[in-house]
Amino acid sequence: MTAWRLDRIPSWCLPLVVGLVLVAVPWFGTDPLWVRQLTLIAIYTMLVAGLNITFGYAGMLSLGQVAMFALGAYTTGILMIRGWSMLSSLVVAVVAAGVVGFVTGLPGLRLGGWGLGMTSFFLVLLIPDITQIFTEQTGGLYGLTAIPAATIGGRVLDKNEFYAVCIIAMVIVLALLRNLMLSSFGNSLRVLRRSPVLATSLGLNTNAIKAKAFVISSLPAGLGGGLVVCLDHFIAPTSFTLTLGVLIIAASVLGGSESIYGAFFGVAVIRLGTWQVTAFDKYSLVAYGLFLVVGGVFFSRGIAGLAEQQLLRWRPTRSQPTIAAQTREQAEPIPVTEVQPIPGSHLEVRGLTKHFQGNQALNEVSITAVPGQVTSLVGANGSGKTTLLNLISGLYRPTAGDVTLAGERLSGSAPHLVARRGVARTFQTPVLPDGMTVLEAVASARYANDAVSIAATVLRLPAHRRAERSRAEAARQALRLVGCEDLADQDAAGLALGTRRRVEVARALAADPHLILLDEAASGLDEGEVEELASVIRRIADAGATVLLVEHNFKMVCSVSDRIYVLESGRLLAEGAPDEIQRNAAVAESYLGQLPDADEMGATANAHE
Amino acid sequence: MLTLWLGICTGCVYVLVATGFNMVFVASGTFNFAQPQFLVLGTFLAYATVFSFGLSPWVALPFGLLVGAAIGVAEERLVIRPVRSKGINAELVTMVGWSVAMQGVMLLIWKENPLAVKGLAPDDVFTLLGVRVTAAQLVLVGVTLVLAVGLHLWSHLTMLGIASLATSEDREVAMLRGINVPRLGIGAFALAGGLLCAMGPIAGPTTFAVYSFGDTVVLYAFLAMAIGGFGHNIGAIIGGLGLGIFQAEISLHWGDKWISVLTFALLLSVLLLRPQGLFGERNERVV
Amino acid sequence: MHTNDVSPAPATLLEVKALNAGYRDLLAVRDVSLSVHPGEVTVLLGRNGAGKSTVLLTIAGLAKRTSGQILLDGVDITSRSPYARNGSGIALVPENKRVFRRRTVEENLAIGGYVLTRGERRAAIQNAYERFPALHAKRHDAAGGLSGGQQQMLSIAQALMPGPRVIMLDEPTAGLAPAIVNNVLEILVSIQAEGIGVLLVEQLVDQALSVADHVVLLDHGRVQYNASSDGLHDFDQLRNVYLGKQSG
Repeated sequence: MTAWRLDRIPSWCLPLVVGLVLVAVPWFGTDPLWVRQLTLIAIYTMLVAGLNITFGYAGMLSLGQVAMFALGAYTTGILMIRGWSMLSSLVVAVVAAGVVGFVTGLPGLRLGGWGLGMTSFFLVLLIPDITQIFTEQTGGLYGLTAIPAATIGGRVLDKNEFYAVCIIAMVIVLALLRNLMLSSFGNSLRVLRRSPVLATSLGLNTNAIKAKAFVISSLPAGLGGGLVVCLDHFIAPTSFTLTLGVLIIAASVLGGSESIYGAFFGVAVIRLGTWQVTAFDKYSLVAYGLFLVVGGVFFSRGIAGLAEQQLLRWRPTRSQPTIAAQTREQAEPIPVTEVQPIPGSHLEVRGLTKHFQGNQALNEVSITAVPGQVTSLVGANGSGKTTLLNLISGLYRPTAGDVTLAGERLSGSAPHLVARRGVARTFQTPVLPDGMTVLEAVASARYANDAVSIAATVLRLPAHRRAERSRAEAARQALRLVGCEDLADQDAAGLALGTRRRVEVARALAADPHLILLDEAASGLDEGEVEELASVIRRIADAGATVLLVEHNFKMVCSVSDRIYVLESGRLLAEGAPDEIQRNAAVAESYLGQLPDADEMGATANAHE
Repeated sequence: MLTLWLGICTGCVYVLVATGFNMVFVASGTFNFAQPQFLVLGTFLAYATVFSFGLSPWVALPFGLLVGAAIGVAEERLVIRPVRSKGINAELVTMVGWSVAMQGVMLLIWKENPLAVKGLAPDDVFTLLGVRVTAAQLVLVGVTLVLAVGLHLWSHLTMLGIASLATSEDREVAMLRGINVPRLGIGAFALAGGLLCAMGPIAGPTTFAVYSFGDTVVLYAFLAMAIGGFGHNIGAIIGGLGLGIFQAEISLHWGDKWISVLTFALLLSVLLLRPQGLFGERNERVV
Repeated sequence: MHTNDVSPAPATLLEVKALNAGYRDLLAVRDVSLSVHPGEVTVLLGRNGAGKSTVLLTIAGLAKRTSGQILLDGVDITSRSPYARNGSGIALVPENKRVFRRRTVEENLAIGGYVLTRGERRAAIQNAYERFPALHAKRHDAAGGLSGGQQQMLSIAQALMPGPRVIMLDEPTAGLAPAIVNNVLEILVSIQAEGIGVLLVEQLVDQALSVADHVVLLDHGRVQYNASSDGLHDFDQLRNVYLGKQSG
């Protein structure tokens, strides 16, 4: 009962109510010390929210928030001393933070892991020295004093009014960031975190996404810095220390790094919890340190994670797939619905050769794949099948030869550009990101070509809603084709292997692919699942797709293919229709290891029509 | 020339920490962010040995070795092993936490003011090639070079050393061949922690005992390691000494405030232009 | 190799009982039992994804087993770590020629003999060079610079260093030229002649059958067939299951 009633309330109502309550707090006669604390909490929340984007969502160890905070503070302070109004100073501060965030994020595009972490840590260390280098403007180590009071429209704000401004700014920042994260952009960060290779295979430009994440996470930090200056009318390098950086990480972990609202709770708990303890300062380092150790080891999703688990009881939008649901859709014959034509193109691989450090993985291989047909590649381990697939999808560059699709050259293009030209693939082990439903996972194939601007996403403009609708529709159609439509709202990463395989195939279909590459799609499946997969593949081909299947399961390959290529030690051993290949003695000896009995082979070919 | 010598002395501190990094990195595949804190702790223990307990500074050697090894093992068990499978974010969080906690404890016990550390050498001063050189500095440079070169030789000439190098390449096959990989990891944490802590009386006279020293050293020693190549001690010597001299020259010509900025530029250049350093390897990407 | 005399069954060197193992939602190995006898080659056949590699990895201790027992010379090694199992006398040559590429050939061999004393190690290295002369010529070269076939030899030589009683090999002929494949098979025969038990996973059916004393066929993680390799009748059934005409 409660479930449907709560479901009716839009998700932004609770934060709005909390925000209004907070704004009203000073006017209930609250102690000014409390008002100051809450102001600081609002400001730090903006810092942590930014951190959650790069650290929590995108999984990048970038800790430059403190540096952007300092930059925003000094920019605002310096401008206000020169007579600029608070609002215009804040705007410049935010822009400056974005620009510097971009520039300092550039190394992060090539670095990962600790390299990125250390360079971003370093930025905090630079703050006192940079202020000393520019002593004239920044006041050096003694800091910037006599910063004028904050004004809006000529009117000086008192402490309570300034507090209200900070709360409103925080609510707006959180709302905008939330809109951004619960969208295709947020999901592409999740895809990136799960696997950069998956991201490029979906056509996403990983560098562009990372750069955007760096910039977006810097903006709230810059804004926070500008506001903190107006709070105390004074800043010095001592306000921007590694301890502050540690506090931000701790708040992120406590509130839940993969959450936007969690930032507020994390900061609030830490600030309020430690504020009243007068001896805390001495113990702060030890306390934060131990908290991080415990938090890193035990908490996986912080307060927000706990809250979400509770919420799931009230509004079960994402639930675990029931056994019944999965077995049901396996038992029923998959309905044949009207199938939208799939725009397959002609694939031509000519004389493709690839050497790796003295190892000849592929030698002068030429194959053709035609729309409406299933073309298969078979061969023993080490025969070069996967290398060929990776060459076609652009993950490797050929040593010689080329790959063309619909007459245009593919080889030599970056993998995400190859994907944008309509090449879709599945992986030997299905790669589905955490925290996404099946529908979202399948729709992610359309992010690259159906891109919506950040502004439209953040403000939920019509363009965003239109794009979401069309992606969802295309995703549903693809799911219908593979017989998984019922699972659209299930958690994608938690499904059984066979089902994840089919979801991956649906994802490959969702982007109207000109070429579909299936990498050992049948491996690990049982007889029944293999048959279903085979019928899905046939249906896709009949709808006009160009399917290139790399497979070990010879029986399945024969039942489904129009043309088979056999590879051995990097060379093409044989090619032809299934019955030709089965009768081919050389293939039998090399790949199957036995001379087959002709009668039996004939019987096999007939049995699998 | 004095600048060169001072640069070499500072550089030796980086080399010491970098060898600690390398030891742990090779044997357990992790970058131990908290490593420099062991050196800082060692300097405090050296101070305490002489000024709190009234003992000879030589006692600080075994004292530091034991305390450092114990804390190193504790770190491996409490902070590294539990998050091995959780990915690099969790690793960063717990290691930063441990590092900060160690700093916090040192701050609690010894407060903020830098403390002078009495070293092993007498207070003699020499003049070598026209440069004023203290005995303590000679000890620092000597011990550092011996230690770093010694560890390099150990890892290439002894069975245990070669086994560690092999483990850093392929943990699974190392286990298949009979190498107790988990124990190797613990051993590395213990040895690196113990050695760095024992270096207290040796580095202390130059660095003093300051709880915040680790903040800069972690970054500079990381750069030394990056220049030399992760896991290569000879490279770490070149990287550390080179960085020390680089920073000394900057201080002389432009002033201290430019050190961190230019070092940062150097870090970026190395990580972007030659991330494998002098002796490291480029990883071939395999899908 | 195919002896027809009726002799009492030799003592079982390696015995696997009702092994179950897998990752995540996939039980790759279901209720598998097999045995390896001294001086005999047991071949594990099956399609890709049948679970062959997982069986070897589980016996070696690298993959987690959910239930079942592994006995080496009658001793239960089921709960031992992979490095302890090596010390007990069982070695695995994993897929893909995994040697330590940055170490020299001689260092690779030395690592293989990690559990030995220094004297034993030196003797074992000399033996390795006698059996694999090509490795002697390259003993100071980094293993990464060797050809595929040489790396496979090195991997086998490395596994043999501590004198294991049972050696397991995972597709040692994969990606190798036919001539080298023959070399590998010859080496297996010579190992077997020394009384070592061999458990071999292979994809090339006829090559495998040419050295097998015993065949175990795996399909979908289950044992479909487990018997000595005498008799033509078995070849047909084997081939049928392998080609997928029946699920056993």
